[in-house]
Amino acid sequence: MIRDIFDIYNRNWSQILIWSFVIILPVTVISFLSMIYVYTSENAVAPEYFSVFAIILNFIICIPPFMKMVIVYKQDHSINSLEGILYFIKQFGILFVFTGIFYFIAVIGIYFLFIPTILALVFLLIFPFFSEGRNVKEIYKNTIQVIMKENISLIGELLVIFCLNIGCWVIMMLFLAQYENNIFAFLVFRVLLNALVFPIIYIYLTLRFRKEISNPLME
Amino acid sequence: MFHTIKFFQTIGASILLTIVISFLLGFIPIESYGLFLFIQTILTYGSIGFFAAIWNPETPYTAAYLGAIVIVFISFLVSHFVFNILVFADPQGIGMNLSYAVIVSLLFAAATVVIRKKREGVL
Repeated sequence: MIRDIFDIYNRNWSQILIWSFVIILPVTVISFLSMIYVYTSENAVAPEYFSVFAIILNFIICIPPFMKMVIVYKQDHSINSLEGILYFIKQFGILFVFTGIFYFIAVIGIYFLFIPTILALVFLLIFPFFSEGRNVKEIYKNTIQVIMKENISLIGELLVIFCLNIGCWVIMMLFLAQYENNIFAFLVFRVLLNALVFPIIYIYLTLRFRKEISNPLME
Repeated sequence: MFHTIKFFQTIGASILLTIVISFLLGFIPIESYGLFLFIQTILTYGSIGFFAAIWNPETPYTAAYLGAIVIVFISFLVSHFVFNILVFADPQGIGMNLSYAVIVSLLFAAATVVIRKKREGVL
């Protein structure tokens, strides 16, 4: 699996570089600045909920071009970087609306012993990889099929992703703690972290959930 | 037929356009507060109407109307739950907001439909 991931990463490095600059950088900058804006506003009720929403949205919004890249690569073609950006604009709406709805369910689920929270987070992890379906019903059907099949191991997947992000962030913060720093330094480090970690996670998750595209001869 | 996927695409394109152009407008010092709000209203709800007429050609007015309502509702929820502004205590303001949004988006949708029909030579 790891060999496969790095193979795809190496074959498509130019597209990944361009998308890191054009998609991951602005999305990260805007989500981070909006977090700071909400935290500094005087009347904000619970800014923590909004920041978690911004982090989750930041992860989910950038998925489509990388997913498309893996699918196209498995069919022995290569994707143009402009096509990926157009695909990102096309998929933005459905990802935004669904993330909003399911994050609301997750927050409300805190009062119900965290069971709806875990279910909603698992749904949020999987549905972007089926979001190019023809209608909404198909997306739900595919996602629920994968949840039924993979079952409890998805929680491990969630833990791995959270720990990878938080671990890299903590190491960078330890490195930064010795210097005087400001918001701009944090912003640059966050963009760097996201551009390094996100493409590998996306390629791994696409290969994991889209079973029908992985060729048995490759493994 | 009403395509839900295309409807979500419309909302997404409108939000994306609003975020990008508002971010760029922030660098220009505009003194008048009303002008800024006017530009944003035209941008958000106008683009809803425009994209609804392009991507949902069979039911442009329904898509424009529902899209404007959804965007206004999102903005109410954000200002109530995140910034703690008491928008729901002001019913007149809510009515004005909803009616302006719907009027602008429907106007843009109607204009786009008329222009497309003229280009095709139907009118």
